[in-house]
Amino acid sequence: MTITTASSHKNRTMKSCSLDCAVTAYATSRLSFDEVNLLRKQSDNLPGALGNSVLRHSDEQTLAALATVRDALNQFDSCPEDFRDWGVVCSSRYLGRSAFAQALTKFAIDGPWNVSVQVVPNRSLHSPASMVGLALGCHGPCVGVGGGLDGETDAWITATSLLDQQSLPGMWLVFSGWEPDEHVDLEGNALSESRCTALVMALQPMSVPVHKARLQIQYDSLSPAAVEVPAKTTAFRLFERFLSEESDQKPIAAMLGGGLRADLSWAPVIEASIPLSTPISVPQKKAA
Amino acid sequence: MKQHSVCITGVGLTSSMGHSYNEFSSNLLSQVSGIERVKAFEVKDHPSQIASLIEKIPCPVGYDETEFRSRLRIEQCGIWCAESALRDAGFKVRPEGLRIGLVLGLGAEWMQSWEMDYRRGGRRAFDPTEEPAGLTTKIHRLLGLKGPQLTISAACASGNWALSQGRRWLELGWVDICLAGACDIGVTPLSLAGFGNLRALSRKNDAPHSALRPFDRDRDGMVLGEGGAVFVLERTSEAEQRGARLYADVAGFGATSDAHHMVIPCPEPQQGIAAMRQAFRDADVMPKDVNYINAHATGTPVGDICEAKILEAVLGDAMSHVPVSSTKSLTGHLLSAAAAIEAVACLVALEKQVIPPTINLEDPDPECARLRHVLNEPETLPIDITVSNSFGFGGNNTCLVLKKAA
Repeated sequence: MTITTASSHKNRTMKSCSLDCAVTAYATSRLSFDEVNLLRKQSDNLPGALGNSVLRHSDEQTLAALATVRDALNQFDSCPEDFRDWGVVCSSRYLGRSAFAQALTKFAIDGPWNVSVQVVPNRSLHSPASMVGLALGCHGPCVGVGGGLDGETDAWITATSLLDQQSLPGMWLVFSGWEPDEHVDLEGNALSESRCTALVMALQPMSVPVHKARLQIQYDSLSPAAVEVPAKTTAFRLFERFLSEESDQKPIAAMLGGGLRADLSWAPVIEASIPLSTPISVPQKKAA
Repeated sequence: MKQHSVCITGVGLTSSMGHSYNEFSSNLLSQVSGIERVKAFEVKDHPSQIASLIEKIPCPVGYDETEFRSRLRIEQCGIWCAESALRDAGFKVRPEGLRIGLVLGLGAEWMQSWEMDYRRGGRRAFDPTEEPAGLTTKIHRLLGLKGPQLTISAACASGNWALSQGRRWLELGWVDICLAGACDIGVTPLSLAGFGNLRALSRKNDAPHSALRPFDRDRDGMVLGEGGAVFVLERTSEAEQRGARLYADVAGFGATSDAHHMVIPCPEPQQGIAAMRQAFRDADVMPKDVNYINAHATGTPVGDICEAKILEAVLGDAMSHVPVSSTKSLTGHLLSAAAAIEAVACLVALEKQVIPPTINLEDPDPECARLRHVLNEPETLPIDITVSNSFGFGGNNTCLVLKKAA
């Protein structure tokens, strides 16, 4: 952890810390309504093989998150053996809107006995993080953050501060939402064409030998205090820009409000076939 | 990395048992149950018809009453709690440049907002273009806060998480002061039906005051409640310097996940045990040092037994002398805000040196009977260290340790 001075209150001399972590895997998904709902019947192709009966009740954003985690698992240069001690932070946007709209209409017609018991457990803010944690067997903290158009900043802050605080080996950082946000009719059916998007990053301490990018959260007195609503760009689009050729490997910054900013930069490419931290034994040298 | 001691210097709350720390404290220790038959909407077809409801959330001083009443009740709850916490801490006027952060535990903010809006004839659930900013952003703007903000949810453990993150921001130097707490206005027609159909709620509709019976053999589920609590957190050294009232040190926090089921707690208590042990390590306390445990104990048949197993394993030999109670028997289960209101109950215990009891505990379940329960009457004891457990859907386990401020 790097220490830098930063205090705007003249009577206070507190120092402010910046947090750095490594991005060791990432993936993005952009799925149509039909594509994302098809995942309910493809439990075996998703992490944890939770069973179609479990996925049947999941929100579309949770399904997109699971599919994107699956893709990210293939991106590790050195995939951890398990994710037992990892945590999950998930920022979803208006989770469960269409299902809830449907539930409201149904309640007005049928009354309380037909309200599904699955709404609260599967459409609350914590639900996608808990489901990803369940699929990967994560016993670290699994929390939902944000929830609205102004909520993605919460995920950057929380994932990095938890990773630093709790000596976790890694943290899954997940963003999900519909782009554009869905308009639905009284039955909860989408009235306009939208895509369910998800961005997943595996964050690990900077001490890991190989990583793809670096994420830094720091206090910057020039960064704005207020959070923009609606945010100028979603994390998904920000990351797409980061991945695009136009970015020219330049770092990308996001203002998180409260004077905090996130900087995402590519890691230098290390041309080494043996991890630098691993001592080379004599037989290995001979073989080389 | 814990660099600084962090303490609570202000409390703002609203619940069926009062709208200030003193009022809540008095009702808690007099065992005035806030649970009654729901009158706010028609419940004759609901399986559970009782709850712990707030009649009217007070409008903070200086706010326009009409404008305040036009807001959804979840907003009223958050604004009242945050504003009154700042006033309680002596920040009626905030010094220029003070970086105040805001962390709110909100588990179902949008569902509640959509439902309340729908009942008023609105269409926000159907049309995203009508969607305003979230509650945390609204309060951040309204109070003119300059620090970071965060909405966090770990279901019914959200309040403990909020306190933990607020403490973390102070340790990192990201804020000078942090407002941290949780709100939930979860007693709505749909939510009462959803939880009721899940068979998670008590159906003792004819006896509201005695319906919620944590650890009792005759328990049949929880009773929903609404409200919230927000705390002002400061670095202890700075709070002492300005002569603030120190309610307690936020000494330790632990959190784990079951990775077992989205609703049912894991029958194997390892992860709950691990969360408590993490918190104890963080606070540098041993089980024998603990003077009071505010249990999560919601009164569900499965959950209370799971927690009893966790407490037995963690406390070991100390089990016979560490008092345990569930204040949900009086407040109802405030869902996302449960941990926050239970942290207030711990502050009351630390201040008054009195442990609030579990009411309606007449015949302890044999599987929970080995705990040292505080039965039906408050108990006066020396109290320096309190522990509050909060667990939630999705397998969230948290534990918070509050110590008497030096």
